[in-house]
Amino acid sequence: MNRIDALIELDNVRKSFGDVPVLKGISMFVQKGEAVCIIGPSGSGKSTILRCINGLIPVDKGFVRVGAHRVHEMKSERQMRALRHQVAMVFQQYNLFPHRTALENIMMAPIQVLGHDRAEVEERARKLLKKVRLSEKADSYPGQLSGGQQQRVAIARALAMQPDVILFDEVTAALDPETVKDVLFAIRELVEEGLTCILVTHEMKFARDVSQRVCFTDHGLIVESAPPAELFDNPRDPRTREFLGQVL
Amino acid sequence: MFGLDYSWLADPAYQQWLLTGVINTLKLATLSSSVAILIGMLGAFGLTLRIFWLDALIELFVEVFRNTPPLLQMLFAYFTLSSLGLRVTDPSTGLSVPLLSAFACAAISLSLFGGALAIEAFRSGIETMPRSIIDAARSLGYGRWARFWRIEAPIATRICLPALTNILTNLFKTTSQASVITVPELMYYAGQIYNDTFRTLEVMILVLLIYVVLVSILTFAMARLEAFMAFPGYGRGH
Amino acid sequence: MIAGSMLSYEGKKRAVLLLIALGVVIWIAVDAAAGGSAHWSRVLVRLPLLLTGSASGWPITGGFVLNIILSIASMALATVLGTIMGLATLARFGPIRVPSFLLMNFLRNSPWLVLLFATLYFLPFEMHVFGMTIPFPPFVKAVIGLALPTAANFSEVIRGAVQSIHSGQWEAARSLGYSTGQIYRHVIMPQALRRMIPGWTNLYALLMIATALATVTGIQDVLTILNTLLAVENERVIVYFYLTVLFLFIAYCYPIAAIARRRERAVKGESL
Repeated sequence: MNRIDALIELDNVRKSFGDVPVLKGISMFVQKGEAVCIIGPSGSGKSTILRCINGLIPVDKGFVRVGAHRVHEMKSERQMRALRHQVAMVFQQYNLFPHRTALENIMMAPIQVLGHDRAEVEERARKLLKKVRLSEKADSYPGQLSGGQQQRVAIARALAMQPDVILFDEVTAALDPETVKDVLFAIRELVEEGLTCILVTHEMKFARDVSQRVCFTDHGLIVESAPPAELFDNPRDPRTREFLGQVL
Repeated sequence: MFGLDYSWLADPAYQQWLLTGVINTLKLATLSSSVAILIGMLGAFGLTLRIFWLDALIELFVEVFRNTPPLLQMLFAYFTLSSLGLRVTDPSTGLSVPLLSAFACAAISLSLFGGALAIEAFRSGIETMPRSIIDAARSLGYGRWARFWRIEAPIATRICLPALTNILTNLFKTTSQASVITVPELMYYAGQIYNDTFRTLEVMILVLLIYVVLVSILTFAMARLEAFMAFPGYGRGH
Repeated sequence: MIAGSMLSYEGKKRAVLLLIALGVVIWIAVDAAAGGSAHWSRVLVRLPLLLTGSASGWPITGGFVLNIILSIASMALATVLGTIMGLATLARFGPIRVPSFLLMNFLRNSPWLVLLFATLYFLPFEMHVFGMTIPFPPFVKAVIGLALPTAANFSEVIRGAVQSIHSGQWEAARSLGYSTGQIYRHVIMPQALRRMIPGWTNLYALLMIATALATVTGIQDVLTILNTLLAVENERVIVYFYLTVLFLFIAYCYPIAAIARRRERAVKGESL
C-alpha cells in the first residue's frame, strides 16, 4: 500500500490521558474510497483514534495527516476548522442539537460554518433526509425521534458538510436492536457510493460485509489489519483469535 | 376588617405615589435584569475561553458581589463613589454634585450583583450540557464564538432557565432595598405614605401584596417561557 | 514562563488570585505610607466597635458579631419552620398541602426587606399570653422577619431533595410493607438529608448577607454602627470603613458558600 497516496495517514500516534496511555503507537493508512472498520475490546483506544483524526483530541506524539492537513501540527481550534470541513463525525450518542428540528440540525452547520446559500442547503438537506428515509420527520425535534431515527439524522447532518471522510464512532451501540438495521443500511449505501469511511463498531457481521479492511486494536495498538475475510476467518494474532472467539 | 384602615387609599395623591413607585420599581428591575443577563452571558463566555487570568478575574468578581449584601453595595456606591471623585459641576448652579444619581447607583450595583449570580447560573448551565454535544459542534467546524452563540448559549440558557428565574425574581425583590438610598421606587413611596398617614401596618401589607403579585407575574411569565422554550420531546427538567 | 508551564490551569488561576490579593495588600501599604495611614488608623480604632458594638470590644452589644448571632438564631427558627412547611407541602391531604403551598410561595415571592418591615409593624411591642408577658424587642422581630423568607426557601430545598429521590425507592419500600410515615423516616429522609445539606448551607450564607437589612429595625448591627460612625468621621474615611465592612462579609460568607458548593458537587456526583 502506498502511504503517499493515502487520504488519511497515521504514524506512530501516541496519546495518554493523565498517566494512562491510551494509544501506544498507532499507524494506519486509509485510501480514498476505502471503508475501514476498527474493532477491538472496549478501552482499547478505538474511539480515541477517531478523535485524533479530526483533532477533537490533540495527539501527544506522532504524525496525523488528512489530505493536505497535518493534524499533529495544528495547535488551535481555528487551524482545525478547515480540517473539520473535510472530516465529519457521527457519534454514539447522536448529539443532535435538541433546540433545533431535524431539518435545521442538518442545515445549521453548512449555513453557519461554511456560509453556503440557505436555499441551496435546504434542498441538499431535504435530499439527504430522503436518502436516510426520514423525509416525513423534517420538522420533528430530536427529542421526538427514536434513537435510530436520531442517528440517521446525525448521518445526514454529517453528509450535509460534503466531507471527504466520515468517522463513525460506535453509532449503533446505544440503539435498540430493531432500529440498528436501518442505520446500518444507511451506512452501507454510503460505502457503496464510494465515500471514505472509518467505522468503530461492535457489529462484527456488518464489519465483515461492508468494509474493505478491518483493524483489530488491543491495549492501544493495532494488532492486526487485514481484509475482513482474512481477519475473521484466519486471524494471525492470538489476541485477535481470543477476541473473536468471545464475540462471535 | 381586622381593624385595618385603608381609607387613605382613596386619596388620589397616594394613588399617584403608589403608581409612580411601581413604575420606577419596574424600570429599575428591567434595566438591572437586562444588564445582569448581559454580564452573565459575557462572563460565562469568558469562562469557556479557558484563559487562566480571565477565569481568575471573573471568579473574583462573582465571589465579591455575591458574598456581600446588595444593600451595602448600594450604600457604598451612593455614599463613597462621589467622595472618590465621581462628581461633576452642575452648569446651572455651579455646585459640585455627584455624577451618579441614586437611581444610577442602585441600577449599577443591582446589575453587578445580578450579573455575578447570572454568570454562575450560565456557567453551571454550560457545565451540565453533555460534553459530547460540544464535541459534535467542534467536529462540524464551529469556531469558538459561533459555537458559544449558536450551540452552547441556546442550549445552556434553556437548561439554566429555572435558575435564571430565581435570579430575576431575587433581583426584582432586591430592588426594594434601593429605597434606602432614596430611589423613588415602591418601597420608598410606601415610607412616604406611612410617614404621612401613620398607617404603617396597612401600608406594609398593601406593598407586600403588590410585590407578591408583581413577582408572581414574573414567575408565571418565566414558567411560560420555560414551557415554550423546552426541548420538544423531552420531559420537564431534562 | 517556565514556572508557568509547570503549573496546572487551576494552579495558574490560583496564582493570579494570590497575586491580586498581594496587590491589594501592597496597595493598602502604599496608600498607608502616602498619607492613608491616618485613615486606616481611624478604621483600626473603630474596629472593635464595628465588630462587637463596644469601643473596647467587650461586652458584645452589636456590630458584626450581632449579625452573626442574628443569622444563627434566624437560621435555627427557619430550619424548624421550613421543615414543617416543607413536609406540609408534600402532604397528600389537600387542606394541609394547598394552604402551606400558598404560604410558601407568598413568602418566597415577597422581598426580604418588605417582609422585615411588615414583621416589624405587625408584631406588637409585647404580647400577653396566659398572664405571661412576652416582649418583642427589635432583635426578636429581626430574627422572625428574616426567618420567614428563609423558612420558605428551606421548605423548597426540602421539597426538592425529597422529590429527587427516585420513585423506585418508594415502590421498593411499599412493596416491603412500610407505611408512608415509615418510608419517610427510614428510606426517604436519610437519603434526602444528604442532598439538603448543601442547600441549607447555601441558604445560611444568603441569610447572613441579608442580616444587613436588619439595620432597619434599629438594632445595633454592623450597618447601623457604620452609619453612626460615618456621621462623626470625615468624608475621606468613609471609603475605608465601607471597604472594611464589605471585607468582613466576604471573609465570613465566602468560605461557607464555597463549602456548600463543594458539597453540592459531591452530592451530584453520587446521584449519577
